[in-house]
Amino acid sequence: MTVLAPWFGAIVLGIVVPAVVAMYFLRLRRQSRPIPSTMLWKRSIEDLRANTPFQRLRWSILLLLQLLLLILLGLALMQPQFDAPSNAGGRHVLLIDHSASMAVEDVGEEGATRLALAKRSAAERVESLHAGGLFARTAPEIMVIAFGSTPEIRMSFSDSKRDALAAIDGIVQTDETSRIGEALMLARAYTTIVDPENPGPIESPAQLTLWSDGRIEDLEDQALRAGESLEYLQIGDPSTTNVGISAVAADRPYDRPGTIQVFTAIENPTDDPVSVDLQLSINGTIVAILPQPVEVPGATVDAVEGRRPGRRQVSFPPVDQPRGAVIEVAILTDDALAVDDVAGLVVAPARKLKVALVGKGGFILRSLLEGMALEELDVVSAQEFRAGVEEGSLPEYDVVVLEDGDVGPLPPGRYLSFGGTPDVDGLTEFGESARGVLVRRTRDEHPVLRFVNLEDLFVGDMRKLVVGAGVRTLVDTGDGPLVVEIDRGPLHLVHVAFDPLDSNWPYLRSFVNFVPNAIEYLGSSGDALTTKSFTPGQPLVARIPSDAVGVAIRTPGGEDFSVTPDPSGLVSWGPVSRAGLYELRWGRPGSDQTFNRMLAVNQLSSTERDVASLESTVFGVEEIRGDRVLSGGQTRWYDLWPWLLALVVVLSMVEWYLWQRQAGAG
Amino acid sequence: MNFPDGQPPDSAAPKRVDDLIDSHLMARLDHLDVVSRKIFNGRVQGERRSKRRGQSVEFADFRPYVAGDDLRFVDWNIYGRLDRLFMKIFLEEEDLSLIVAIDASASMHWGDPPKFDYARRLAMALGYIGLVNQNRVTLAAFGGLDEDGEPAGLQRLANLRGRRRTHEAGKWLLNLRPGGGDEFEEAMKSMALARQGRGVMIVLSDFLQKNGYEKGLRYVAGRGYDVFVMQLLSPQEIDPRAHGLSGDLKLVDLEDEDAAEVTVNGAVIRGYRQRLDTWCGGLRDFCIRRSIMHTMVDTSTDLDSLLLDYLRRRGLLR
Repeated sequence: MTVLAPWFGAIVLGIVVPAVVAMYFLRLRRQSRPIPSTMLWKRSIEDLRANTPFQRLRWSILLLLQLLLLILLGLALMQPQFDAPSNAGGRHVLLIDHSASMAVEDVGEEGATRLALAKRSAAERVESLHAGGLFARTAPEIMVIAFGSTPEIRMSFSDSKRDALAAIDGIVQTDETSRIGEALMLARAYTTIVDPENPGPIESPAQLTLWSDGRIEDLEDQALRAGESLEYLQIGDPSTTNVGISAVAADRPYDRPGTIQVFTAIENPTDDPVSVDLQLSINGTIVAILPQPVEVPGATVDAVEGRRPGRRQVSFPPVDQPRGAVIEVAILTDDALAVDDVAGLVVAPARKLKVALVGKGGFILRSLLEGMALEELDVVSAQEFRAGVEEGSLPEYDVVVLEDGDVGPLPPGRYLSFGGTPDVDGLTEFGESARGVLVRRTRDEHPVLRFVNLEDLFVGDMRKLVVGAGVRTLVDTGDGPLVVEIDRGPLHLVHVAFDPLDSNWPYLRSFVNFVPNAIEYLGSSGDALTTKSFTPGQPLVARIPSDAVGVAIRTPGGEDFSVTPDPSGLVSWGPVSRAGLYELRWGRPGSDQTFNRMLAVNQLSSTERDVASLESTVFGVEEIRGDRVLSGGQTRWYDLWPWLLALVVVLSMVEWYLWQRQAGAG
Repeated sequence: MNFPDGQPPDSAAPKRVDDLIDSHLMARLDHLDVVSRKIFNGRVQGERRSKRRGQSVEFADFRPYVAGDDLRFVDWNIYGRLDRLFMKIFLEEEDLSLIVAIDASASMHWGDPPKFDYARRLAMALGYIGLVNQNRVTLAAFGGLDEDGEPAGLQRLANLRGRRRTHEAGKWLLNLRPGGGDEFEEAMKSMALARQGRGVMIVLSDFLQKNGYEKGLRYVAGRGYDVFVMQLLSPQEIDPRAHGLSGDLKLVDLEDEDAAEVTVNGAVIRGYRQRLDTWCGGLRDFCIRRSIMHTMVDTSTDLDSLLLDYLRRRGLLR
């Protein structure tokens, strides 16, 4: 029970009630009536007073009613509220969203985040559930789950209020993407108590209560089960806006490996277009700020795909950076959520590739490869290559180009193959060759096909392929795949199903672009330059030398954690909850030198980027309206004043009836 | 009839004797007579037989002679036969003393019709009956005011006899001014002390005396008066609710200006009715115990009906 405006109501009552009492007595200017004798009247009044002890009250019942009306009106002016009726007993699962969007400070209090409000509201709910004092029924059992990308059971079912409050208080903010599926599974696992001797659950499902802004990625994949009820407590302002980075990438042009070009995409989930200033930092030094603000269009609504956020892609000018670098793109414009305004990327040092051309050593491919800025180009025959593989004497190449040669089963490595089908699982050649083949469809977005226009390509003789699982078709024709990619970790292959000499490709510009693209793509595969950044909620995984010692990870907050890699040098740590740059450090036996590698964790989720709080959530097909939790942490406060006013109306009618009766009786 | 806001205006009061009693009523009252439950002796022989043995021609009884008796009334025939002296006792006819006392206090000057006016008309009618029947009629009023507006005390018009005194009686009644306080006890005491002979006393009052009626009636009861009490109450007094009395009122006593603040509601009305019944019942019981005839008269009752029907049935008139 709380009162929003106690002083206002008290002042009104303090003025009006004495005034009404005074007026009541002043009002009784009784009409004077001469009568023969007052004797009988006085005696009758005395008789009434003697016979009815409450006669004095009876004559002033109207005054009492009026005073009661005024008091009720005064209380209504005080705007009393009472919290949700205590639901003592039963089982309750408190689901608290602590994803990135819960860090938004839009709950009406300076410096208070949505998570802080949610925690306060949840604590009040715990207090409410445990309310009741001596007359409470059985204590409730409460389970506390915090969820971001993964759920965290803060407390299993317990009837301890202190533990529940501590569990809620211990929930910390994360930068993870909100996913509720696993949290619900966990809750159900704990709530569905099965008696082996009974076919069904022996207890009714628990009451689920969700504190969230409603921005949950997998919400539509969920559905409430029979008998399950979920109460959604909406946290945050539905009108809060935000803009964020949705993608970031860096590239070293093959012709200028000493430079880095950074690409980024900005998304705007709101209806109105926004303009943002972008900043590029390398190793902590600002190297570029776009001279003009970037205009990001507002969201659009598509009849098929529904609402799509506005998106703008931006390329920063190339920057000379031959060495490795930590790249950071930042939106300088203030908005609601900070974590998606910064995205980091770690770029490996520029290095030249060591390439082997296996096969006939044809003029076209060899001259093309020789024209590239390679560290080394070896031309070997198929026999030499096969022997080297068998003997294990083959030098370590970054990329091996197979020129229509039968080299037998391919060992782990990175290959660009033309013509003859390599001996790899998933690629099967069948039938006779296709002739006069034209390209039907290409995956233009693939790095290998950048600036590669195959519209004019005519293939005179193409080997027909049947592709299996894990084979990705990059270029397709009416006779089957023309260019395919197989990426199986140690083995990475891009295969072209024809000999360029059997086509007009050597005469086309696309061929000159395709080969360097493929060499660069395959050669830099696995390097930090193109390694995807991690997202909050994922474990950090990296490979370091197997003999590394003293391995540790430093978090963006500066905390160091010791890590033990597996014998092969694979380091796995996490999942990490916060975005930012993590530093992996290690030493080598017999060396004082410390090696390090930076790992970037970025929150690029569109779910978290849209921070407008949802007034209802949709579980599958069921829409659940939310009760908005207001600033101050009130949870499910119910206004009492409408009930007070209703009571006033009823009492007014009673007073009217009594007045009429008295008047009629007189 | 609504509940009166105050005392009736003087303009509404009877101005002439005809307003008190008209010729039609007089004609109907001519054959009536006042009945006394006792036969009294009067100062002069009248038309009424008295229980007092006297000198009339109607023999009543014998009694033994005692020394000092008037020898004229010795029955010598019996002496001749029995040789003993017996006195002849005759019924003596004597006149009836009729006293009509009117309460002229302020409480009577209220109601619709006003109780005082009703009492004057009733007194006029009763007096007329007495005069017509050669009774010695005395009209008295107590509680009224004199010409200066001061309490007049007991006013009397005594010893009227014969029809020709009717106008005089009427004028006296018309000149009465109501409005004084409660003088019932003193008036009754005065009348008892001033008693001349025996007779019938009719008291017309509302008997709402705060000091009680008992002492006053005790003065006149059993002291030679055959007392008739006629309690006059207006219909507004009998049933105030039916006449619109309601709400928050300040009821002011006409006699002593005592005020009673009353929120008149059903319970209060019921209490008042109960108290009125108790009060009237107490008066009636008091009268019965003292051989006083009590009659309660609603002033809305037609005077003809009251005289020619009701009072005849009650035995006051015949």
